[in-house]
Amino acid sequence: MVQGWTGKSRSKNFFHNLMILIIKFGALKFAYFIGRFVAFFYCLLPSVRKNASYYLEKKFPNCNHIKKFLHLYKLNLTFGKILIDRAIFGIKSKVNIISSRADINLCKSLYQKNNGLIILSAHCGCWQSAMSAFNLIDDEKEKYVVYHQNKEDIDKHVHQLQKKESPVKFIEPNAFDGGIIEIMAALQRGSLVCMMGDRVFGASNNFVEVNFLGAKIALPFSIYRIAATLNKPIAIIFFPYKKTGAVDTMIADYFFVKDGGKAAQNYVEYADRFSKALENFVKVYPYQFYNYFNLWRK
Amino acid sequence: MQQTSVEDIKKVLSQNLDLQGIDLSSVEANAPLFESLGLDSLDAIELVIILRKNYDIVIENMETGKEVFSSLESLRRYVSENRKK
Repeated sequence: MVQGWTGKSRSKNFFHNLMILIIKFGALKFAYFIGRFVAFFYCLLPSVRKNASYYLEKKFPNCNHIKKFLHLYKLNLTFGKILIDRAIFGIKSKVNIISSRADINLCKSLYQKNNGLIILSAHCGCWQSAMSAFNLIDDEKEKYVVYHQNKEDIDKHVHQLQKKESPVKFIEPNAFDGGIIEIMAALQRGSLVCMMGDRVFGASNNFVEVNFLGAKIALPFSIYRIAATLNKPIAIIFFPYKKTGAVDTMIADYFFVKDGGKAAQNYVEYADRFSKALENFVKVYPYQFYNYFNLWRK
Repeated sequence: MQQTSVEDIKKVLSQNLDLQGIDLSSVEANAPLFESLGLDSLDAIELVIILRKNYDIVIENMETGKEVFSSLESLRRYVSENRKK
């Protein structure tokens, strides 16, 4: 299994900087208005149509061409709004991360009782904004995000837009050890580690197969092995986009992992729980799933 | 300080890692650990576990981890200096 995604931005630097300029001058409604045309433009690009089709055909099977196009437009439009929101959040700090008291209490309790917590999320909803402003755990402990930024990715993190120091530390998963030593060291120090559970890194045998939207996909399993070894809980949390300027939090599931040794098969049930949680997410938010590549390829 | 030899380390690694036919006796003590043994991210987990279970050693930061796992010799030295059992 070799990773089938790049993480590279599709937009050109010029358009990206133009949008930033519009937001800086406060023309937020204009930015969202422009976003509609940009979303439509991307619907016309064959590469975008192809890369989005893998998910859309699974989510909305047997659609005619017009419906397919509409689904693609809604997907691109929501993604565009989320990216504009993230830029606004970075430049003007105007996006609200909404977390219910119950979610905050649950997360705090898991974290404090176990001196550490793994947050497993996915490339859906407003994951980037949420990770930059994570407010579920108001604690002095260090927070880590396992994140690979492609060199050709022109999107900036919120803290980069704000020209501030990052509130979270980043762990590079493309390091010689897949970032594993740093992840385990952070968890053993009682830190919070947030990572994505939906993408396989590098050319690795670090995956198990589970069902997602009716067919098998490969999901990484090393984080379940780490959780079991260090006896740290995993909380599956997604960050759905609710409306302009508002990001919600959704704790989809949480659990401890039973130590199953090295055998990948012993972690399938946990990867399956992640997959089910993600399926439930896309049932409610079908246009907030942003894996523009073929997750289902063999 | 309880001394540990490279041979001790090799024995523990061969018992706990899937080395896929690599002859540990032919691996030099100063050769890069991950490259010479063909290790990946899953093996990195096992290395951290081996240190905890066999020597009660916790790697507390990335800098130490990088140094410790750079070769068999660096691993041996760190184990000798820090093992609690």
